[in-house]
Amino acid sequence: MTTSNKGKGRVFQERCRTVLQQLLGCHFEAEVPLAISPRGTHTFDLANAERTIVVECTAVGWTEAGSIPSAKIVQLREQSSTFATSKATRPVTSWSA
Amino acid sequence: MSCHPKRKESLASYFVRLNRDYLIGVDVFELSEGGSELICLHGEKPPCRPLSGEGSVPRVTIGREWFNPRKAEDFVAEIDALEKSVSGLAHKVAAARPERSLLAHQAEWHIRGILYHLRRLVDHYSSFVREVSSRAATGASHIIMYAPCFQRVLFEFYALVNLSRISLDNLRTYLRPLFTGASDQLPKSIRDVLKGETNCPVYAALVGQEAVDYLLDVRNCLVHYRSFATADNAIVLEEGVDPLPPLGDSDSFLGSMARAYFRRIGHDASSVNIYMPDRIFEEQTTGKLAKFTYEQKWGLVPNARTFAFLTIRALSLALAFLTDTAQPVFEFSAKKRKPS
Repeated sequence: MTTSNKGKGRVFQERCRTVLQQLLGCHFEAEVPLAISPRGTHTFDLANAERTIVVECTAVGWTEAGSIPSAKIVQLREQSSTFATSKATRPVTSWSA
Repeated sequence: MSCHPKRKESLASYFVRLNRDYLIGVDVFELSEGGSELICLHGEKPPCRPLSGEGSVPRVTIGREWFNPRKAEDFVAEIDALEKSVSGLAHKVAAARPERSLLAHQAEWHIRGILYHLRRLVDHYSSFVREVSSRAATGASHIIMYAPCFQRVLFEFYALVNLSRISLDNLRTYLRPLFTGASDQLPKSIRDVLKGETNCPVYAALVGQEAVDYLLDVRNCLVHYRSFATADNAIVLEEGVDPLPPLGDSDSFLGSMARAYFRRIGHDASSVNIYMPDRIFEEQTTGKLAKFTYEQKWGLVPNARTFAFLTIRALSLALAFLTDTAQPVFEFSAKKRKPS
């Protein structure tokens, strides 16, 4: 049975949560919407209770042909800008290796 | 790790390398497939000793391209903020408990001294960065330069390390009025105090701190094993290039315990780092010096900042207790703390 990309993402998100909780010693909530500007919110994959650490989890690698998944990269660059506008003191991006 | 067959790097590493301008203030980790090993690719390094003891402990390594640029102005602003937050603490003690005013003013002297050395260290480091950047702009990857400012950075670091250690040792003096009669004889060394059992929050905040262990190791190394003395020439290498071959007999003096590296940012800017050894001693008990490696990229300036901040926080917490606590309430037992 093949797992959908969304399913893989959820599994990876859960793995990130477990590892970061062990590493940083705090609890993380999943799918946390936070205001990033006066007009908009963004749902972060993980965030701690104080919302000082927000996390985006990305399970993506090189394409089978060895090319760059351009759409994903553009999306990630936008997410990085979202981090800059969030009030978190410690934004984190997790990648699957 | 799923590396590109030709590029020999993961997509995460590639993304970080090309998008550093978007990642200022963001930490990036790569999580190994099926395991719990984290590779820190960008930003603040997580604690090597994880904060939670539950479950399997994730292993953290530092990626080859790891990078966490910070501006000197931000650093100076941090020092200003810290200085503001601790000013007047001794006067508060003197007003509330006049009999403790001498202790309070002594503690404040140590705080001011640490801030003095930290500021001067940052000034000399900024000069060193300017000198390196001007030479790096020529395209050189190996720079051997006359750099008295590098020596001055180390003078200040030397002073900061020793003053921080002495301040932590002296906590026992400042806190003595708050310890019960039976346990007012705390060990002279902070390391011995931290090995024991106490309910004093000032010491509790220092127990298990990796930075405290590193500070004590660096100080012991400087005092008992190896000097920080260097020539007034500095060797600075571009990160990623092969090191220079040994320079004959003078190498041991030219080769500082702290290593300087630079990295080009864009067309006309450089980031300059001075790295400290990953580990000072092989084993704390044997006291044998480790073979110095620099893979963890422990920066001298961030280390100096951490040493200064944790010492000042401990001193200011001690001053707050001297103000607010009238009677001896803390206890100490030399009985060894069980390893966690």
